[in-house]
Amino acid sequence: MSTKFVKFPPEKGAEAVAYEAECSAQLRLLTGEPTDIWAIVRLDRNNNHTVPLYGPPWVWNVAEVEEPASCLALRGDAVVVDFPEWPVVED
Amino acid sequence: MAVHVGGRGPGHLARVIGGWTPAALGSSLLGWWDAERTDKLTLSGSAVTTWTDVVGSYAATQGVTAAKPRWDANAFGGVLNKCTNYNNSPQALVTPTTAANFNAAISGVTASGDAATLFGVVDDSIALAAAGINTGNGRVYVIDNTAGAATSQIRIAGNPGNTNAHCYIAWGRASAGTGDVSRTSTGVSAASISGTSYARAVAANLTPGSTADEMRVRAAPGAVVYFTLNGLYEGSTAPTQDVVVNGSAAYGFGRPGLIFDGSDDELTLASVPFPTGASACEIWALVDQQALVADTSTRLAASYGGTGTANRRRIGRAVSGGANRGQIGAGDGASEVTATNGSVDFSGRHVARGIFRATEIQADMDGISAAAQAVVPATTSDRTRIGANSSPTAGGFWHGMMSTVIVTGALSTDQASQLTAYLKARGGIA
Repeated sequence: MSTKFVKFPPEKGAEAVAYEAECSAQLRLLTGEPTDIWAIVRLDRNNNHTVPLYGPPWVWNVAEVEEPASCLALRGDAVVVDFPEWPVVED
Repeated sequence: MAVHVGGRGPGHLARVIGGWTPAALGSSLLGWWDAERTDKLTLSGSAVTTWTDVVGSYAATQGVTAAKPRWDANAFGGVLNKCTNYNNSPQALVTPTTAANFNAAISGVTASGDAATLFGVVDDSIALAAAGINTGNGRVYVIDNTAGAATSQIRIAGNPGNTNAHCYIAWGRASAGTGDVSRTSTGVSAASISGTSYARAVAANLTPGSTADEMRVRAAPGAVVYFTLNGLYEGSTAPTQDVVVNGSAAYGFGRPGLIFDGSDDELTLASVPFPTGASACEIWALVDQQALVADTSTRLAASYGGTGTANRRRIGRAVSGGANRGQIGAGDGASEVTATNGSVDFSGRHVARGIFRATEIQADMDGISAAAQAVVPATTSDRTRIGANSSPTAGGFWHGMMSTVIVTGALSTDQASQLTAYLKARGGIA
């Protein structure tokens, strides 16, 4: 689902996990599904902890979802980017 | 709550389009994921949780919401209006007021300009009806710049996302003075709004100044401008019809398709019910490939087999010679051999066909063949993925849409011709 990505620096792994947990909590409120998971925290090629942004332009049904204040607070000064920089792995 | 989006019962192998369908391939048809088989899709909102094939009920799944592709009934071959306001029915009436008050009352648009300008949402159903327009509730945006000494505007949320040619459109009228539809606040390449009857103002074939440009509707000093059904469309030529947008970018006039974001969307099947070793097969996909040439990542429509390039088969897109190309690959146990079709620009909608034989592979695109590459596949059986590679951690994410993914055994010339014709017709491909 198209959205932006939040890049937490390498030393902010715990913050990335906390942000994702809050996103999942907000997602469950939205969907009513208690087991929904928002995302997996992944390292990008520069070891930034990368999490999809829970907020615009992510769409639920036909409307963009506003970013909850709780998510905004937890992402703090992490950088928001249009595209993740996943590691280039060709096995 | 996850819901099935359609009600077809089991036992219907094919949706009949023009008579022939892939079901006619009989035992050669090994797997068929079809975005038009809504009974085979499980959605959460519009997010695809499960896409199940119609041959063996092979369920490709995604449990993580952000990585789910999106299903849209009009996406494939459709027109995307990139605006994200309520373009046909502003949410609430707003008595013309200051920009600050208007902006506080309405989302999706932003007013600015002369301090004396009034902005609102009003009922203009009589004028709309006179022009043969029925938007439902008859509400339109108005910019009353009667008392203004400078141009004022309403900026509309929704970005082009790239700097390809775009068209900027709105239906508008001016009860006094003139206005325009514009790409910029200064009126670059604007299309005029004038006259007391609604008319479609089209500023076509404009190049956005940035990927974040937003369209504007403006009113000159002294003008009163009404507008509705605004649209921002990629392409040099304006669509003939307007796509209604209600709070998010929306497709119109297309067929069902899955939309993969190119960042992390994929569906995984934790088995490989397809030929392994050097056994022959073909992988077909009807796709809309949207990655730009500047994006040099290899992006896969489908992959199955082992967890590395040396032991899997895949079909997708690569950049070669400065152009998008359809490319397939197969590992021989030690390394991967790729076959690239250098004849077809693999941008936009295409029928992709990967032919995997016992000693060679060949990439055909839209029925156009390319040279075979020698390889003895050594495909193993760890997993199947749609929209990414079959590595333990998915990568090579597809950017664009898929209408269908089909896996077959080796096809005869006639069978391949029929399948090509079926998919080209379905995809609107010449």
